[in-house]
Amino acid sequence: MKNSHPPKIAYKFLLWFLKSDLVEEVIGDLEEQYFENLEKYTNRKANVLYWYQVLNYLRPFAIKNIVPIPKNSNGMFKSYLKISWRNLIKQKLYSSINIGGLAIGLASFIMIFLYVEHELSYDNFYPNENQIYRITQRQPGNLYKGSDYFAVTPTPLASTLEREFPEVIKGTTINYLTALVSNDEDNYWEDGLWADKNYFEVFNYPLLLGEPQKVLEKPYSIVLTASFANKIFGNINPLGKELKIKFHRDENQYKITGLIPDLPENSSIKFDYIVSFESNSNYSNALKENSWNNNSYFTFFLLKEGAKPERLEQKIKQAGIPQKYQTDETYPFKDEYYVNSLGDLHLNMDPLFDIGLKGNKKYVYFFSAIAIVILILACINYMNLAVARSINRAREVGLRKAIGAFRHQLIAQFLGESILITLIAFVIALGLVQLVIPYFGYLIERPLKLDLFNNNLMLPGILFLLFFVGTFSGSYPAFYLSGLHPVKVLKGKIDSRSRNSNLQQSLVIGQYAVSIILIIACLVIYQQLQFIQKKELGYNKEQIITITVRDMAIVKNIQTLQDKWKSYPNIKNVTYSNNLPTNISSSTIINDDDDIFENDLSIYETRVDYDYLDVYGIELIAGRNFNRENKNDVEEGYLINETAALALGWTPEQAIGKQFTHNGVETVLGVVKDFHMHSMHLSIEPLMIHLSKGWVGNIAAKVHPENLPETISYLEKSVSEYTQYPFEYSFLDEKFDQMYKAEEVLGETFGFFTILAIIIASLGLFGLAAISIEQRGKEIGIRKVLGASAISIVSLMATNFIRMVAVAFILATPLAWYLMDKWLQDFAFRIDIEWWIFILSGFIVFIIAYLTIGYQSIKAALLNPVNCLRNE
Amino acid sequence: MKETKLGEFEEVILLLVGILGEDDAYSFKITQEFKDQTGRSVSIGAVHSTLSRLEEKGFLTSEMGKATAERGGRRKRIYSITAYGRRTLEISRDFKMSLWRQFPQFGFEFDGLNFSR
Repeated sequence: MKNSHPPKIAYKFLLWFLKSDLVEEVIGDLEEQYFENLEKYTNRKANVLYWYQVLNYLRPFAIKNIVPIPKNSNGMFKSYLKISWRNLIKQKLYSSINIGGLAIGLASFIMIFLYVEHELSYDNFYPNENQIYRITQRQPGNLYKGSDYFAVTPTPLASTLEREFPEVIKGTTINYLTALVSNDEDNYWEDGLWADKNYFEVFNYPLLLGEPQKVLEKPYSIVLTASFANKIFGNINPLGKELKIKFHRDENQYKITGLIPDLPENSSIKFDYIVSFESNSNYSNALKENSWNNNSYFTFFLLKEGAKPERLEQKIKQAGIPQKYQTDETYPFKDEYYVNSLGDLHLNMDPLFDIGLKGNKKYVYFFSAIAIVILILACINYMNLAVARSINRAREVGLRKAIGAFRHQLIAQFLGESILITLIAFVIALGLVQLVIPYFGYLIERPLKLDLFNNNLMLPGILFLLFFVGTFSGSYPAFYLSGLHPVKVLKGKIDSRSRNSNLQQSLVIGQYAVSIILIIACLVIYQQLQFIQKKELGYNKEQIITITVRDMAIVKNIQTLQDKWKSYPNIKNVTYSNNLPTNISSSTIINDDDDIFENDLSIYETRVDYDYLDVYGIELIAGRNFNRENKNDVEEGYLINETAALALGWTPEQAIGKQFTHNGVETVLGVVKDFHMHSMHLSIEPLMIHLSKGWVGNIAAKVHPENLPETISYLEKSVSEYTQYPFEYSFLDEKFDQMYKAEEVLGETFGFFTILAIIIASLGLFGLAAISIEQRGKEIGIRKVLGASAISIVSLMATNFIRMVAVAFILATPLAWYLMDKWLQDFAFRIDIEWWIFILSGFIVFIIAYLTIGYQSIKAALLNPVNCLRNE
Repeated sequence: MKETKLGEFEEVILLLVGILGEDDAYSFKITQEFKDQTGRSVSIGAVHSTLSRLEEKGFLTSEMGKATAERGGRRKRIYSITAYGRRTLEISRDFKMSLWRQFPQFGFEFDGLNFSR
């Protein structure tokens, strides 16, 4: 037997918790086991096993009552509860301020928590979520809308990864698709997904019907989600049935091979059906020819468990992918591939042309910060009011101490009281959240709901929050009050003002500083949005109806439609183009002198028809517009914008008649005034405009504002003569507003929480003012008796508070300026933050504070002095 | 007596107490025996907790044994099965047997569960 003994700490721990009448036998048993283990194993292992045995004695039958319960405890608890309750009832004003403030703070916190949790939960429902990765790429030099980082990859990439790197288990290529799905006469316009046969092995979730490896194997297979199948077929088993799918020029019958459950709300990639990629000729040809020249699809893959994505990234680079496969000698960029996890898709990255719904990480941080700030504001309120009221409670404390209460009992009493109040606030907060969450969810476009029991974070989170808020807000009063000296208190010698006023004042200042920052932020966001709305865009967005074109049948008949519509009395003019002027998406490269490579200019392009400039009101500053009579215009006539002319080194006048090379030699016919072809986040880039030649993305009709419904139904009727596709129209100004949706949501949400913060701060100030006036009641009475006017009393009471607001203002403005300046950096076109914004927000807070205090002060000033002086 | 139902683990422990007899029926040995017989390892605490529960239910009684040198003079708590405990075990066995007899394919060949020694 080795000379050893069980680990001391474990032994002592065991003695500490074990019931005394069990000690002898248990120690004996465990020791016997220990020495037996010592013979079989190493010392170390025997020690670990001893610990294991000790910890396994942590069972109810073996644990002694560690907390000795005093005999009178029930009675004391009852008394605490009764006193707390009486205090709540007696001081209705303070109680409702306390509870109301806390409830609002907690409700905001819970709502934001739900939002943040939802944002972080995206795509976590796949069983193998942490093994799913994808490839993104950087093409240094290929700048598009300010970025050279792309989500799309070449077609053969998935199979190449699978072949060359053993840690890639399966790769799949996908792309999104929107198509017309028809079952006999019923048409459905829904979002779908192209996916190759490996899809269900990478995105590994259970199918309702069909085998994961086989459903997408054959061309012209389609897999439906349960609800889509139900929408088309009702309760009939859809397997083996056929659907017609139509998009662009393509129209084919697809056989239903599988059924999947609906995707959960937190899926960033959403679709109603998956069609086999083999049926897409672009895809299957590119795969057959092993063509790496097109970056059109998304490549996802399953990584072996334990394999490092960084390592794979390195190996891809070392293997020379994609350079070793690129056959196009003139390809100008050196693409770099990156490995990203699926979990990062929603929040952590935003490459160009990405698939899936995007969240905004900044906003998640932003809102989390607001949640915490609002909660702290509410806690501060509680502390402030409790400290201010401590005079009233001080006698109770003195008496309790005098008859033998311990300090820890008092601390427990006050903490218990604040937890009780928090609990009441919590119940109200949950009710508030239940009421408001649908609107909040609608505002931020997320399906949020309060679900206490199905969410495994929620209940423990709430209990923790309850305990934390209760303890945090109750801590200062608890420790301060319990530390009072009974003799002094009972003699009435306590002067709460001297000791607490500093803390109290800084808390109030903090609250108001936060309110001012929030108001400034709101005003700046609002102003920037107004600025965007009102900014001279360079085109006219009012009274233009745009119709999305997806069916080739419309493109073929575009001339007929245009002529017909032009003659309709309520339509002023009609044009069509491949992009709307709000968002011109394609870009290319031109050269004004073919021999010099440096003169290459990356330029956006849009394809339009003859009436484009007229319908959108785009101004021509030099040269001429396209002319129907001039046949050459179709092939080689171009308009460019001012920025393009400048980039090519011409003034607008010089540019006319100049030539550059694109597909062939092209001639500049005219120069248009710069207009905002992207959102205001981006600056204006070079642009060239040429005639459509069959590229039609949308038709735009400039209409008279009268009889709009009639005009729209006329348009719809004439479109539906040519196509089964649904009639998709919108007003150009709505489309424009949509580009700033994120900012608008931010502004509205911000406004909402700003109001809450101000309400909380005002509640606190209101309570403080009330208490201070109550405590200085006699002083006011004497002043009045001696002849003070009501006005002088009001200003006496208000001055101190107003001073605090002023300090808060001085603290808040630089911080607010810094934060908002940072936010504005995201816009290429932005307002300057003007001084009056600060003054205005300071003024708003000042008015609110003055009204809050004023009410109390006026009440005090008008009081009959006899009332407060006679009861001595 | 609180509850007379026997859980599977409880039943095995009760049987083991019977098997081990007067000298060895204490927590540590029962735990070891459990491991030897079933191949499942379990902590002494878990067995001890079950033993004390069985005692509460009246299936077992216990008393402290004599001090021995091997445990540094510490006594063991020796458990023994009561008549009521034995009866409950028999009822449980008979009940299972009757179920097995009704069981279609195996009822025939099955020659009984005999736990007592």
